[in-house]
Amino acid sequence: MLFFVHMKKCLISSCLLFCFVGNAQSIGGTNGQFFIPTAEMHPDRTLVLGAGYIPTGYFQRYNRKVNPGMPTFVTVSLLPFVEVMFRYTHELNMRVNPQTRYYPDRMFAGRIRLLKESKYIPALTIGAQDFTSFLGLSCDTCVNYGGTYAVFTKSFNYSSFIIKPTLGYASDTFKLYRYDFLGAFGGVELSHKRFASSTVALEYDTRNLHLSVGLTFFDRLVLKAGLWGLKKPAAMIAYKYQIW
Amino acid sequence: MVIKLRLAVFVVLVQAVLNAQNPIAKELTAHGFENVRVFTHENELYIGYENNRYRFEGDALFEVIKILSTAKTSGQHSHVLLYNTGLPVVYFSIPNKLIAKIKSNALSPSDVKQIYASLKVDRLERLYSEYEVDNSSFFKFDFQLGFHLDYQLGNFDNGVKEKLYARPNLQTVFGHGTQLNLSHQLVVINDYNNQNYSRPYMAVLSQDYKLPYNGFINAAVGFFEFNRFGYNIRFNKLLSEEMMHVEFNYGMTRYSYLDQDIIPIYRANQQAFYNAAINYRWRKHDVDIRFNYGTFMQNDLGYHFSISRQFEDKYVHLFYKKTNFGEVGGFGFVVTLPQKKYLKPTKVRARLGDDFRLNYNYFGNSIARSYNTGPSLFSDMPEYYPSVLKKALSKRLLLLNQ
Repeated sequence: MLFFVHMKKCLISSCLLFCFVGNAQSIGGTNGQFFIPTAEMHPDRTLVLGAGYIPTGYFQRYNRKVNPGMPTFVTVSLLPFVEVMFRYTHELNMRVNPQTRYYPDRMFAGRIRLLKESKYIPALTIGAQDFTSFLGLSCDTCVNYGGTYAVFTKSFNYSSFIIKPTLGYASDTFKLYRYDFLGAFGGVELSHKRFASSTVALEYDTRNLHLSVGLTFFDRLVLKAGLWGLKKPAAMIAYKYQIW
Repeated sequence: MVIKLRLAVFVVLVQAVLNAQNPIAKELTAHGFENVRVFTHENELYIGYENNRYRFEGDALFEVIKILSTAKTSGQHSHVLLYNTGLPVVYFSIPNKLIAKIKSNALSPSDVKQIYASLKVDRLERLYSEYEVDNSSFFKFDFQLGFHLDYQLGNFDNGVKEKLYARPNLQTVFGHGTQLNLSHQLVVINDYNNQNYSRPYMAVLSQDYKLPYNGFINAAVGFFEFNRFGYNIRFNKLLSEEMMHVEFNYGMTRYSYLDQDIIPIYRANQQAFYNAAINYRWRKHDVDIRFNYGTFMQNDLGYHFSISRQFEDKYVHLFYKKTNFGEVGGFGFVVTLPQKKYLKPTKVRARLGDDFRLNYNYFGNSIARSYNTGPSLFSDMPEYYPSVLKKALSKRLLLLNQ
């Protein structure tokens, strides 16, 4: 009897967990939809380890677009409203050796949530990525994936669905050499209340449109797959863990 | 005079026997807690203990509260004093009403807020010191196995060069705050350099003093980290509990180490090393903001600024250092090795080391370095801070009562 009570407790807690689960993890490493950042934050103390796949023709490194790319990242919610991310971006099919003089590209990203989402107010987050040249810590032309942006996200309930639109603007504030985001971007994420751990998203990242699906298992493992530019397959896998 | 002395010895012996017979003391000792004191004063229960069983003090305190909840309590509050190397560190006062609620699974978050905790333990220590300890932590030998990684990224001939060391360490506490640490370094994996020999890594004798009003002194002598031999004295003072602390550090060392045949290798010239630090702690989120200025290990003069977040017994930090040698910035972390609970402390015990540390320099070279002089009371303090332990206790008690 006690066993069944315990099982019921576990089941209820798991269901509750799944209700609050989001797939809010982008290929780029920060909290986001498929590629664009959103204003949401992971819960405080969350550590995310993950890797993505960006197809040939869309992955860029020093203006080269000949290979697919694989960002590998570690993201930490240092505070409930501060997220930092460190990433090595690998150009696939390239060997590290003295002939190629290739080495994966590294970058930092930081995000601060200025407004927390409430009944009428959307969440507002500002963020910057690959901006160390602005601080004089790397060369100007070393920047590959720059971005400085402000982004709003708000959830709406409609019938049994949760609709989560995101709208943001990435500016040239830091005068970076190359950008992942420059201009207006936005997207919509859709999920059903009964299957809150699964999402469908459509987004525009200032250059391309992406369609993606996401699935989170046990509130830990996030899988995403989609069509980059509505043409080529892309994917992401991440493991989330709340540090105590 | 002789009669008085005999009487005093008799009273101490009776207290020790009574202490050992107390069911809570028995239970605490059976769990592996050390320096246990349990007594009643003005009709309220007082418990003192030292944890060398659980990796994190929060887990240990939770176990003690669970034991306390099974015991008969009287008066308004029960009192718990935590020790480290035989020195008092932090005090908890727990309302007996709350203990009754733990028993009846009726605890709410507002109840947990009634727990009072403080680092002001001087007055209490005078009371506790009248009672004998049970299961002393002194003269026990801990063999700890830790690991260290040196690495280099970015070379085109070998993208990731690494050198992994196993660092077995022998630690023993001789008396109140007196400890000896001997560690050896064994190379496990190495494609970093051609130094594959194993040798003694550190041999440090240190003494911690707890001064009134939360002052701490650590004096250490021996072979320190990074091949430094000499002595080092550090003074720390906590202000407003753990919210702020200042640190003054002075060391006189020379380049020296023990080689694989335990023969000392050294250079004659001595080097003084002094710096001061101020640290602010944002207790709500266990965030430390620290600024350190002075001379560092390579005789470079400058400052070290860091922001770190503590997650119970794990830490993540961002740092920036600037000296007359250049600048460096990056991040690092400290994670615990996968052993939350050790074997019960006995005369000789084996266990994993406390943690694994790794730093990553995003830019710049290794400057503003300081050597490690081994464990000390103050370096253990963050895991005893009232704000950290209250959060940890609250989380565990509420989970228990779900």
